[in-house]
Amino acid sequence: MSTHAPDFLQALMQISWEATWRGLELHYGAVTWAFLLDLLTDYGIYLVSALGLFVLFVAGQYSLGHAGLVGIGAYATGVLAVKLGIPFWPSLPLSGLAGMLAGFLYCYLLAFRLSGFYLAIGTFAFGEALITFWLNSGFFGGALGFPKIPLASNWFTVAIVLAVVLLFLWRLQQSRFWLEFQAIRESPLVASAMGIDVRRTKMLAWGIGGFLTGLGGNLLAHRITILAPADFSINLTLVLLLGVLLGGLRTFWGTVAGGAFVYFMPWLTTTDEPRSRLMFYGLTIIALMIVRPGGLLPPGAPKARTAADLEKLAARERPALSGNEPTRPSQTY
Amino acid sequence: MYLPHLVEQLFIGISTGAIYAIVAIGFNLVFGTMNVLNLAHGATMMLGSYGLLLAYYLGLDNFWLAAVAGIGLAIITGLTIERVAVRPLRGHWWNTKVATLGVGLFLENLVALITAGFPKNVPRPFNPTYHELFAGIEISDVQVMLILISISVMLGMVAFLRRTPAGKAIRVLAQSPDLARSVGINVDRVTLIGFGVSGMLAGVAGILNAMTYGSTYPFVGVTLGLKGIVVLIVAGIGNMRGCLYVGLALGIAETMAIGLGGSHYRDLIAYLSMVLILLVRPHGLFGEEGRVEREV
Repeated sequence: MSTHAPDFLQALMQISWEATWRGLELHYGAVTWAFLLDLLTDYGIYLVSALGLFVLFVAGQYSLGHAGLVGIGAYATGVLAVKLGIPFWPSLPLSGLAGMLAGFLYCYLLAFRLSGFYLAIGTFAFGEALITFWLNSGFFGGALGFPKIPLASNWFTVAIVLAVVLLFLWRLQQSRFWLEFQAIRESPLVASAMGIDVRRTKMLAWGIGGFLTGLGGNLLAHRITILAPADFSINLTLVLLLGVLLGGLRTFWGTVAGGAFVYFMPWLTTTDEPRSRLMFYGLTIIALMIVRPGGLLPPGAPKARTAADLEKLAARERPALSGNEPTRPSQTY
Repeated sequence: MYLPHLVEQLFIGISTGAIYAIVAIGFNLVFGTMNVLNLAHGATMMLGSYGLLLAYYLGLDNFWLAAVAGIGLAIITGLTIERVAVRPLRGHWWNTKVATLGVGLFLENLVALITAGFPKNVPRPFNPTYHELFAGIEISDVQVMLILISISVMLGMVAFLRRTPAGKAIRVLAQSPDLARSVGINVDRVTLIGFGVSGMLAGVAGILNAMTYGSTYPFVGVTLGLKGIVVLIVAGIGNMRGCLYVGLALGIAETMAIGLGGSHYRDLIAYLSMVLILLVRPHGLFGEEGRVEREV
């Protein structure tokens, strides 16, 4: 019996692989490298915004108005590119700054005053208000959209931006700020008792999250070339949120994985109706929340330090002995 | 713009606001008592209206019986949500939120898949006729019925919470789950009952909404559910009467804005006023402090 099991598994894998491939071919014609590269580029753009949301979530800033921030980055890009004629690379940090300023605004207006559930609902309302503003504003093109943004995001530019963002997050994760973010998420009260300036840390989280999201908005605007207010509705927030929640809050790699799941799964499971893929999302979320309530990579307790670890740490910090120091009792940890 | 027109808008506003209030009370029942924000509430409303349609489709040719069938479907949905997405995750407020969101996504897209996603006509118990009250002010009998049904639902809820054992148990649970457990209340069962009643309210709201517009579609619960959350937050969590006042006020404000020519900004009113009120009173107009912080 057991000898058959690998054969069976192999057959199953081959069948599912072939079915997936055939399904892709049926829907998108021949699957070419260009198509896969396009898919990866879209995923990269999505990921930059999702990582912005991830930073906010690590700091306990439950933002449901995140699509509004993406929209601010994208509309800022539109104004920069079309009305002012600024090319892609210079507009990138500028739209990041626009996102950062919007993040500060969210923080000052909402995050300083509300927390937890109320913050989520408040940011959601803020995002919806932004959509209504864009919808009725002639300067931003209203419901007709903001057209004629040059096509500038391709796999190359997105890869460069994403690499820089990931490098930045990797450094950030090793810094003191990351611990401060986690501290104000777990308990603002305890954090402030430990000497952490909660308001400043919140401001920092919103600034970083807003900057990354603004970058994502810029890449998006340069990719889809026409902006419509409805693109930045709660649906976009939900897709970003799913990537972050599926990934868990331990490291940004969780968001990278969760985002890949959210982004690629629909392409692999697409049948004739897009409805069925949203249904599939729903089922997956329920199952995941029951099986792994903290996401794929849940935030764990800090790594426990054993006595041996501390000994090693102390040895590293202790200056080398020259042999003629006065003797003192050996320290125990 | 003349005065009778505005008074008619007022009537429409009251009937719209009554629906908002019922939706908010449904949210309130499970959020105020069990600390679960049921984001599948909108989908439950939608299923209520589709249950009515299903009853017609299966050959039941009486509006009121079909409405009862729709409400029954909504109750079953509420109970199922509790068993599938809330009970396995008890205590994790953020996780139940995400899981119920998943249930909502699943149900809405399932119905969209089955019905091809088009809006469907919903039969009315009778065709609306307009009666002139005075000075050229007209009101339709459907509006009168909507307002009457809403008021009786509110009174029924108050009676349920104040007089019946289950309602009293729900109120104890709202005060303190530990206390409820220690005086011998079966918390699991009471939670289930709470979700059932909340599902019933969702079904009523869904059917009233379908009657108002004469049609329903799979994503009808999204906007309506969001308005319900706005009303809940502005009123303050755990306060039924506040939900009634704020729901009516929101309905009237929205229809007045449309009547005065600002239909573009209809949704902005709800969201912006909510942000402003939250900034001034972080626990809502009628809310008490320290309610949500307990779990969050």
